[in-house]
Parts: sequence; structure tokens; C-alpha cells
Amino acid sequence: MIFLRAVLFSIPRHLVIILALTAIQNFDFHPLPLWTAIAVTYFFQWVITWFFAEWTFWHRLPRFKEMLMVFCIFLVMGTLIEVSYVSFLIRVDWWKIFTSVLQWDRLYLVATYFLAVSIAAFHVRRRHVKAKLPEGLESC
Amino acid sequence: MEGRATSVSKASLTLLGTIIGAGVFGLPALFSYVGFWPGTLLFWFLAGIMLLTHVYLVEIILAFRKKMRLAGYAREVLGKRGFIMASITYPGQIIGVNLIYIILGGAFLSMLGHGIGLHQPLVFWQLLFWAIGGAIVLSGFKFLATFETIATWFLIGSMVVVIGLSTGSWNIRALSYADWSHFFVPFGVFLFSLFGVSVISEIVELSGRNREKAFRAVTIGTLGAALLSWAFGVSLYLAVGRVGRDPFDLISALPSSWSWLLPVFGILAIITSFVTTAEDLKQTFHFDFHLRPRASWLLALFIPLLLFITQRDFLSTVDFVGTVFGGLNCLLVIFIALKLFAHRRKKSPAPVVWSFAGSIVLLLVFMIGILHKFLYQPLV
Repeated sequence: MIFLRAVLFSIPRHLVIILALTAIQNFDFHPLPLWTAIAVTYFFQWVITWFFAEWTFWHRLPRFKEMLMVFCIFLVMGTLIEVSYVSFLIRVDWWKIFTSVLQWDRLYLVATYFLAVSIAAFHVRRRHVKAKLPEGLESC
Repeated sequence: MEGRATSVSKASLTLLGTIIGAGVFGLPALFSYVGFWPGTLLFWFLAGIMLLTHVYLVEIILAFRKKMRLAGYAREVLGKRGFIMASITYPGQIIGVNLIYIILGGAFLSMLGHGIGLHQPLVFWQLLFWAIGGAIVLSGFKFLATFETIATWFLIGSMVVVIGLSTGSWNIRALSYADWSHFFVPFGVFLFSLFGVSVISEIVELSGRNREKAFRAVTIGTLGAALLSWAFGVSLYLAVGRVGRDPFDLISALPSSWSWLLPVFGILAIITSFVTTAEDLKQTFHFDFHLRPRASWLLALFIPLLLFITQRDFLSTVDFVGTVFGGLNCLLVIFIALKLFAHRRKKSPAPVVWSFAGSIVLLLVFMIGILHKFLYQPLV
């Protein structure tokens, strides 16, 4: 079921990221320097990915393998949605857009997603473990 | 006495709240297509027909002690063939309704998004609506369904406000327009906007399985919903004039400071209904077709999405779902009622003659409506 949830949740996740990026583009950061806009962009992507990862893991105790699987699904589905959407908008060949997004600076984004998914998995795991502890041991 | 009033009013309000939904947003366009008088005549004729169908369904439900879906009654009375037909038409209607929710919910999201400067194509918002709705369904957040009644009431409240606000821009001269040659074109959309078959068993339970109370609740609920829907359709037609296929057109009936009203309450009402109907569809696949839960989820979420890829026009979808699936489900109710009345007539002939004659009239109306749509008139 976690596979199905991850696949399905990756769709609203990426659509919400597109909306957030559109909103940031409309926002005037002046007189703040450019790097603040980039930082806000990464922060939004982190928060949205973390939220949807938490939602994906919500009912279960996530294992390391499951965390990796969710991260990979988010990454692959996100790339597919982004490339398909841009291809739909500007009517350019899908493969051309796909090759154009494969750049080294995208690794920062991959790291952001990994961080968000792993923190979400850790947080959900801790919540489940805490809930199972006998009374009086929650603070341990 | 107080308890009696409470149960009837609660039952009729539940029916009214369920009938009023996505279908009302198609009414102004159809009134604009055929004109005020032909539209009003057909609308109230169909309101009477739907009222009679709901009353017959009450009779069917009361004839059995066990609570069932339409397919269950079809199996009990009509046998295997009836069950197979209901197993196709009932899920077909829910799938169609979910498709309509995706189209309309996305349109409302798009209106709000454009309002706050988030410009994306309409299809983006429709996919976002489906994806968020699907994620909520998959999470099993059933608490959202409890907000359905509240959200529907907000929608009804906002409809009343919209009717009031639009009176300022009414063009009374539009009343004189009439196109009698297309009199039957709104059949599907009108039928869809008056359809309440899926909730009648709940109304009977709320009325304490008392025939008189259930009849009264069904009459008040169906006619109340018809009155509100008709007023909404007519007032927006008079305010906007030539209403197009796009739900966006309706916003122009409102003052600009109030243009957020319809999309906000529309989304609230539709997302909660989407969650409920998707859950219902999943249960239909799981219980009626004996599919595994995971496969049921996948089918419940992805069949409407696959249909969405091929069909994205709000009005023609409402028309098709209303005429074909709405009409066929009503036909099933009539067939079940006919057999039930024929069985009763053997025991006591006198009181059921009117029911038998009424069934034949209803049967003819639904058959003519469906055949007319396919043979003589292109879908709107």
C-alpha cells in the first residue's frame, strides 16, 4: 500500500510545488538579494515534500527501505510530471525537455528532497515508537 | 408531535442537501439555450417525474426489511438480469459524477487561482483537484465526509445570496426568448440536477420507516430542491443573458467584490462530495464485484481520471450522465416497482391501480428521454 500511496501522493505534491514556484515568481523580492528568492524556493520545496512524505508514511512504521522507495518515487514521478507539464505547455518534444533538466545543480534539489523524506520518515517512526511505549517511558 | 416534526424535517433537509450539487451549475446554460418558458415547463415536468420515482423507491424500500443498494433490490425482485444491469448503471453513474466533480472542482480552483494571480491552464487545476481529493480518499480521512452536510449548506446559503445579488442585473426581456424546437435538449442536465435516488434509503431510515413520514419528507425535499435549483438557474440566466458552456460565465452575474463566493463554497461542497462518492465507488467494487481493496481503490480513483483525459466538457458530461445513467437507474426503479405492484395487485387490486398506471407513464418518459437523446438530438 505504501507504494500506491507514494505514487498517488507524489502527484499533488508536485502540482503544489508548481503552484508555490508560480507564487514565488509573482512575488517581488526587491530590495532583498537574489539568493533569498532561491533560498525561499528550496525551503518551499522542502516543506511541501516533507508534508506529503509525512502524509504518505502516516499510518505505518516506516523502514529504511521504504523511506528510500518513497524518495525514489517522489523523484521519478516529480521529474515525469514536470517534464510532461512543460512539454504540454510549450509544445516541445518530451525528450528534449527531459535532457535539458538533467543538470548538476539539480543535485541540490535531490538532496533537499532526500532530507525532507528522511526527516518525515524519522518523525513518523518516532511518533509510532513513542505511542507504543508503556506509560512513563515517553520522555526516554 | 415534536419528534415527528424533527424526523420529517431532518429527512427532507438531507434529501434537499443531497439533490443540490454540481448539476445546478449547468442549469443557467440550458435555460439560456431553450429559453425561460420551455425550460421552466420541462424542468417542473421532470421535477414531478423525479418526485414520483422517489416515492416509488420509498415503496420498494419499505417492502423489504433488509437495507440494500439498488443492485440488491434489483436482484431480489428482477433476478440476475436486473442485478447485472444495476451493477453496471449504478457504478456508471458514480464514475460519471466523480468525473463531473473533477471538471467542476478544477474550474472553481482555477477561478480562485486566477483571482490571486496564480495563472495555470484549467487542466492543471483539474488534475490538482483530482490529486488532492484522491490523496484524501486514500488516507482514509473519513472525517471530511462529516463536513459534507455543512459544506452543502454553505453552498445552498451562497446560492440564495447569489440569487439575491443577481436580481440587480436581471434582463426581463430575456423572458420572451423561447426555442420550442429544442424543448427536449435539457432532459439530461435537468434530470441530473433533480436526481436523489442514491439517498432515498437514508431518508426512509430517518423517517423511522414510516410510510406517511417518508412520503412527506421525499415530497418536501424533492420539490424544495427543485424550487431552489430552478430559481438559481433562471436568475443567473436572466442576469448573464447568453450563458456559455463554461462555469466561468456564471461569475459575471455577481458584483466583482462577491465573485469569490461561488468558487469557495463550490469547492467546499464538491471536494467533500468527491471523497464520499469515491469511497462509495470503492465499496461498490469491493463488495459488489468482490475485488481486493487495493484494486478497488485504484479503479475508484483512476477510472474517472482516464475518462477525464477523453472528456473535459462539463455540460455534455452532465447531460450524458443524467440521460444515460440517471435515466437507466430510474428505469430500474420503475421496473422493480412495476413487478412489486403486480405482485401486490394479486392480493388487493384496488389501491395499487394508480401506482401501476404511474409506473407506465414514468417508464415512457425515461425511455423517450433516452431514445430521443441518442436518435434525434446531439448531446448538448
